[in-house]
Formats: sequence, C-alpha cells, structure tokens
Amino acid sequence: MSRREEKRKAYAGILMPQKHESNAAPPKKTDKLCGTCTNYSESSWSSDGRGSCKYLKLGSDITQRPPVYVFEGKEGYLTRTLADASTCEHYQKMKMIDKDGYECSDPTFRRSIRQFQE
Amino acid sequence: MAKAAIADRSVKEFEEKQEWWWAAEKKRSSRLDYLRKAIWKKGAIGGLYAPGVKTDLERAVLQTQKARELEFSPDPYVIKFAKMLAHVLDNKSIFITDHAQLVGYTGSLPHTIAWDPSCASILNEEVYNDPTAIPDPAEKSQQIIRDVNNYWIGKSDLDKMMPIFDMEDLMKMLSGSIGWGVPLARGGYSSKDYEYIMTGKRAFQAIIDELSQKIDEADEQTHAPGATPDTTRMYDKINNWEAMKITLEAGIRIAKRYARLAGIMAEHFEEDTIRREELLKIAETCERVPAYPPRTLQESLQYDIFIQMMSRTEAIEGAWPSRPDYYHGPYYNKDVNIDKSLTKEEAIDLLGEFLIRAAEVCQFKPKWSREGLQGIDGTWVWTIGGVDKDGRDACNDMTIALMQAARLVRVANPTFGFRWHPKVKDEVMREIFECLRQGLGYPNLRHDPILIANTMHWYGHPIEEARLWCNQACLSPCPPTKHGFQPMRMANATANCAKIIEYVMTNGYDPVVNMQVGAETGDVTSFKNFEEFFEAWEKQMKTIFSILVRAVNRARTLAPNLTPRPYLSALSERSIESGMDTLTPSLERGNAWITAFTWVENIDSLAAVKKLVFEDKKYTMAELKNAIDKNWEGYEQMRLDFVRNAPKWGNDDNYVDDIMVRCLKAAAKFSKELKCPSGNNWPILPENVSGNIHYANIVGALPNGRRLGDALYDGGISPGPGLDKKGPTAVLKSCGKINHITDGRAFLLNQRLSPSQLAGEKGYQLWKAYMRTWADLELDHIQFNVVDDSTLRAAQKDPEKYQEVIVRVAGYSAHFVDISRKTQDNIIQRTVQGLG
Amino acid sequence: MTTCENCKRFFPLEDNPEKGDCVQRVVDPRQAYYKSKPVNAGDDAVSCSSFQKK
Repeated sequence: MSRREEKRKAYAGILMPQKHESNAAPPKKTDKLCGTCTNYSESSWSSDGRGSCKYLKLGSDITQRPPVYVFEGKEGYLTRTLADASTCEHYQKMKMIDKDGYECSDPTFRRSIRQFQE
Repeated sequence: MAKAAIADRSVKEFEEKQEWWWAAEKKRSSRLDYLRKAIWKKGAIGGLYAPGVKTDLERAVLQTQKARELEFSPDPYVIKFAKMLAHVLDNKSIFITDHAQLVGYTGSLPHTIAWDPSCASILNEEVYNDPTAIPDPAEKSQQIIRDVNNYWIGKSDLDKMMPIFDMEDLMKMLSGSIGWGVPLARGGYSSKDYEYIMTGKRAFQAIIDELSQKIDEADEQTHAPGATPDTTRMYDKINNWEAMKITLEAGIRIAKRYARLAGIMAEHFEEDTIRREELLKIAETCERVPAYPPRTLQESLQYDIFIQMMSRTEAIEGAWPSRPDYYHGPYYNKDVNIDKSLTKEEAIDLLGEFLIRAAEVCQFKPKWSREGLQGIDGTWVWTIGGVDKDGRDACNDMTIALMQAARLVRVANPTFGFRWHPKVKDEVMREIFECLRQGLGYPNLRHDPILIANTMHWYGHPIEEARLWCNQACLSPCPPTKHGFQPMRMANATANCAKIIEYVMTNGYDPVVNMQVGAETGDVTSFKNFEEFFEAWEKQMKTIFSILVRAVNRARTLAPNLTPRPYLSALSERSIESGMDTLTPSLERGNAWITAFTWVENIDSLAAVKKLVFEDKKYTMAELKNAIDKNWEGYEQMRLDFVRNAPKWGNDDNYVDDIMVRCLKAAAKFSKELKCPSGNNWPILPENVSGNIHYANIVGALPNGRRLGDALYDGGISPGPGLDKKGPTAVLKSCGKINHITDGRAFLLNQRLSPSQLAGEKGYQLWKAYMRTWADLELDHIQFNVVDDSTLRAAQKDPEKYQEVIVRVAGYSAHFVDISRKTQDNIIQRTVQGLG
Repeated sequence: MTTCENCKRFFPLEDNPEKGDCVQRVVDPRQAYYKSKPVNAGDDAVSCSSFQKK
C-alpha cells in the first residue's frame, strides 16, 4: 500500500462516525480507553470522539490481536476516545481533571463528557 | 437585584452609577420588559449550553422521517431536499409568546436549539455527546438521537462530500488545528439578494407565479422537436425551479399556520380586548407576508423574520447579513412620520422585539463554534448607516430608533456595524456615542469610503453595488445584489494564523494533533538570517491558507449538485432567471475572504526573533527553539526578555510596524494568486471573535513569549493586551501604516476606553476628536469597550448581580457572565486608553 | 376510542376537518405561550398526557 493509500484509509476510517451498534446503549467494556490515556489528544475541532496518539504512529492498529505498533514516522496513530485500549502495552492512565465546565478548549477536559458514561 | 430595590431607585440614580442595564429595565415598556426577560439564552456559556436549553429533536425526527420516505422515490435530490424542508415547516410545532407582536423561531419551542441532522455526521455525534442539552427523559432522547444519527451516517452533506475532497487536506482541517469551520454549503454565512426581495417590489407569491411560468415554458421547450446540450441543461433547470417553488409554497403555509394560531388564540382564549386586537393583527400580518410585499413596519419586520427563519431551517447559518434601517426604514417613515399610524414609542417596541426575535435564534453548533463564539449563537452584526447606491447619506429615523431600541433591550446579539462617512449628521453620531457610553460595545464603526473602495479593489464590484454593502459576517462587506451577493461563505477559510509562526519553529509538524500539517521549511536552527526565517514564514502562511481555500473551492464547486439551497435560490434573482442553484460560482462575482485569527502573534514574534536573535544576537536560534519546545519552562528570564525587550505592534514603532506591513503585503500578494471558483481573489481579514481563547490550548509556545495555554491576543490588528504602551493615538498611527484598501479585506481594532472619561458633553467631544483621527488615518474599523475594570471584576465575583453587563469580544458582543473566565480576564487585560 | 378530535385542544381546519391543530397553553420558567402542532382528527390520543375530553 502506498503511503498516500495508507493515509487515506486511516483518514477515512476516522472521519466517518461509527454506527451505534443498536438502539440500546452499548455495554461498558473496559476502563482502558484511548481517551483516558496520557498519550491521547482529542481533535480540537469537535467533540465527536476523534483523536490521535502522541506515542504510536500512523500504521499502528491496537484493534488487531496482537496489536500492531509503529513508532516510525511523524503522523500520530488516529484513534477514538472510546477505542478499547485494554491490549495496548503503551496505555498510561491519565489523572482525570475535574473542571467546572466553564473553561473551554482544554483537550484534556473535553474527553470526559458523556462518552465515558457509556 | 431584587425587584423592590430596582423600583425604589430612579433611572437617574442608575445612570449616574452607570448601571445602564437597570436604567434600561425601568425605561422600557412593560411589553419589552416581558419579552426581554422571556429570552432563553442560547449562546454557549464558555463552551456549554445553559441549563434548561435543550436540543430540538422534533425537527431531526421530521427530517429523518421524510428522508426515509423519499429514499427510493424517483425525485432528483434537489426536489427531495425541498420536500424534506417543506415537511419540517408543515409539521414542526410553532408558538406565540404572550405580549409578542412578531412571531417565528427556528426551533419548535422557545427553549430549544434547532438541530439539522442532515449537515454532518460528526455534528450529530456531538449532539449525542453533549449531555447537558439532551432533553428529558434522557434515555428516550438518546435512543432517538442514535436512530437519527445512524440514518445520516454516509448520507449527510459532509459525509457525501468527504470522498470527493482531498482527504489529507480535509483531515488537516478537521483536526481543528489550523482551520475553524466546515466546507459546507449549508453551514456558514449566507448573504442574500436583498435588492431582489426586500425592496417591496415582489414577495413569495409573485416569485412562485414567475417560477410556474418558467417551468411550463421549459417543459414545452424540452418536448419540442430537437435535442441539444441546452435541452439537457433545461432538465436540471426545471428541477431547480420546481424545488424553489416547493420551498416558497411551504414558506407561505407556515406563515398561515401562525396566522391560524393567532386567530385561534384571539377567538378561543384571549379575554383582554387589546391583546385580542394584537393577535388579530398578527393573523392579518402572517396572512399577508411572506406571500405578498409588506405594507407596514410590522409586516416588513415580520417578512424579514420569516425569510431568515426559513433560511435558517434550510441551513445552519452562523451569521446574519442585514441592513435593517435601509430596507425597513421606508416603512418606519411611512407609519411614524407620514401616516402616523404608529407612535414612535410603538415603533420602538416593534424594533426592540425585532432584536429580541433575532437574539433568540439558535442552531446546534460544534465545539469549535461554541468556544469560538462564546455567549452567542452566531455573529449577527447588522449593518446600519452608510450611503445609498447614489452615494447619498442613507441614515434615517429608523437608524436612530434602532439604536434607541438597542439601549432598551440590551441584547448581546444582534449588534450593529455603523457605516461612517463624512456626511453622517451629528445627531446620529450622538446616538452611536450613547450606545458606546452605555457599555453596549456596539455599534462598531466602519469607514464607508474606505470599505467601498476596498470592495471594488478586491472583487471589482461596481460602485453602485459596492455602496449597498452589508456585513456578510462580523466585518466583511458584501453587496446584497444579483451578482454581488455571496450565498455561502464557508467558515473553514478561517486560519489560526499563530500556527504560521509556530510551524516555522517546528518544521511544519503540529505537536497538538500529531500531524505534519504545515510545510517542511527546514530545521529552524539552520536559518542564518532573518530573511531565511521570513521566507519560511511566508511558505507556512501560503501552505495554511492554501489548505483551507482548496477545501472551500472544492465544496463551492460541488455544492450546486451535491448540497443545493433551493430556498436561498428562490430568493435570488440570478437563480430565478437562470434556473441554476444560487451556489453556482459562475453566477457570482466572488466575495471570498480568509479570516485571519491570531494574526498579530506573528508580527510580535517575527520582531522578537529579528531583534533578539538575528540583530542583537542575545540568544541563538537553538536556544530559542529549545526554550519554545519546553514551553519556556525553566527559561522565564529569557521569556520575559522576549515579552518586554522586543518591539511590539501598536506603539507607532516602525521597527515592528514595518514587519506588520510586510506580512500583510505578502499575504495580499498571495491573495491574488488564490482564486475562488468565481475566479476572484481571496484577501485576508484579520479578526478573532473568541478564537483567541478557543485556540489557547491548541497553539504552542511562541517567540513573542507566549506559553501554551495562555490566551492569544484579542485579535485583528489589535495590539497584545497591555503591550500598547504609548497611548491611543500611537495605536491608531501604527494601524494607519496599513493600507486598508489594498493590504487586506478589513482589519479589526479593539479599543477600551474609560467610562468616566466619556461622561457628558466633554466626553462626546473627546471621542469625536478621536474618531476624526481614526477617519483621517483611514482605518476601516474600530470597536470599543467602555466598561471599567471594577465593574468587570465585580461581575466575576458576583455574576448573578451583573447578568446584563455586555462586552465587545472581537467582532461580536456577549454578556460578560456568558464568556469563559479566560476570555473575561483577556478583556480586562486590554489596555484602557485615556483620550485627550 | 380516544382520538384527537374528542379533545378540547383540537381545532379542525375549516376546509378539511380530518386535520387540525393541537393548541396548548405552556408556561415555562421564562415565558408563557401558546403552541400549536398539526395533528389528524383520528390520531390515537390514549397515551396523550395533554388530552382533555371535549
């Protein structure tokens, strides 16, 4: 796969929201989510659940078993706030920040909204 | 303040203490008082919607229901879309508030935020992820949202456009790092062809009749012997005309629903005879408009509300281009001065309510918008004053009445942009001054001769059209004419310009979103002189602007087919005439611009690097790079050197002012290389709204001494807060070195003045003298905050008591208590300039 | 059967009595208003909490 194709695949995957599994709220699977990892940066555009990893690079895939880790390259691995990171060896739980909701645009604040309630 | 305490004190007492909001409350009519307090505040507080305000699921469900029904129908998309819109208008809940004389709202109920699920799936996800606005019972609402969201995945406008965009550009843009909005034809700022629909010559029914005739003629033509490419194009025209007609007919029907509700209320519920008469008047008004041209001020205002409400049902509109005194002024004059069917007080009641109806409007917005426009839903900067197409003073009695009404209702949105020119009468200037002195933060002042020349320079609009301009968003003039109006300004051509200088330091890599967003301009430590550094800056500037512009150009080119606007087209002479969607670039002269957020950081940073690194050689570039990579941590002394001992913009210092002019000229030159799909230019427009706070945690440390997380400057060409140390005239002189016609589209300048200095006649004369300097230096814009620090600090401490304090943020106004603490602090930090 | 047409809040259209509007008075924390929503005369109103028999 060319670098362009690889990027395009990764970008398309992250830009299109995933369908909700059913009409019932999905069951909570794990406490280890990308969104609770210190290496995670949420998109600063929207709170739609997109983000990227500061540590793993594009080409990584933690949904694979075993996970694929890529450390070469510049582009961060694109992932989602609610992605299951239970098998990622590089997961580092962050200290949660309690804010009153009136400070804005703090990437480490936004992630906790609603998405973690499920 | 308790009701009794307000009642006990006189208007004069409140005014002496400069508690203008209590004075207004005592002065306004009981109707205006009720309606003003009835507003559900929809602007996000900080970044979140206020308690009690809920996302409107009704519209989303109606639209999805109709979309499912039409999914396999043989209609072309434009007609399907028109039918969806009609279905929403025909079936949504409507309401009439007690004491109201004007009706119409984008949502179904007063406390709801309209949500259009067909625009972007990523927006729908945000609706789902915002627990504060989900209606009760939450579980049931979440189920509805999931169902709606699942339907629109892959079908929303953005989802449809995505595969056709350059995915890499789109990804960079939607990272939120360099750009702001979204390249959608149904998500941005729509100017309108007011010269076609607001001059009383026609209304919906006349347009429908014309459309019917055109459809019949075209139908006959396509079935006559012969077949040419024109025949093929005619099929598309017929579809577009039919879709336009569907939307206009739906517009008339919803107005009649309001008429019917008002009639039912009058006949079955209302016991008060005066109110019953008012309700019957509402019924008569809504039977009349928008089907037929208005005859009175009430009908004219109601007509405008319907036009806007429907346009905001068709699309998410983040701005409100309008010139109310120009288009409604003749009706005001007729009712108040000629027929005397309205007293001035009654007219002001109507105008106050008109402002309130606009203040209520809200559509669900994503994070970047809620944080970048804290406290308001969008920038409703209405244009007043100015000249007519022949260059004569266009100010009229309604110009004055609008400002008087604004002081009574004190809404933060809409605000006014006043088109100043040398013929403006003193009585009008005094009204402007009174609004500013009373702390409204508006009108801002715009230099009309400069902006008319600017509009002609950048786009070639003829002078008769340029003279009719109104703000398309906060600051950018656009003629509301057949070929002059821009149907959609996509907000993603909004550049977070501080990234330009940041990327020079990082070789284009963005450490916040972990992407190579900028150009690879080389290791900054290898630059041997300022020219090499500046060359890298220029390349980063061009790279960022290009990414944003490419996306808009692509979207505008695709929009007529993929994401048409049949309703907006139905209000456009060029579409009625041509049968083409109004977004078709070839129908428009072009009026594109790049909003340049966080611009001045570049200038101060470049000046600091030039002085301290390349000239004085006090630090090496490696040292600077290292300090910046570490966010200045451990380098505080060095940081302070970059803050205090480098020249700063806004002090009439040629060292740094020349850099500003050089940067603007470089951008202006590139603006002419960038072309919109209409073939016209892309000038830049420095301003910020509250993007300086939204981007605070997205922009890393910079050479001007700023750290990650610090608020950015308040924007436009305003100097950094507290860094303009030489007084107000020095600020004006620095800004006067910019050519406000050829160096860019418009340049926002914030100034803070002391309320005590503006007291009385002396205050007015001081301000007027200051404005003369501003005009002589040919600056295109200025806006004022006239609230003292003690009031603002008291409001931070005790927000409940200061709910109504308004401040000018940057390009718009907001209630001080509705903006984040960081934005509040940023406004307090702005230098209070002493005049005289 | 409990249908909209049996409700006090139902106001039929003059030219088509099978359709009409459900008109209700609402007082919310900030304002009072009348709201209207199109309904059919025959719509099932069994589970409607606002139903008021004519």
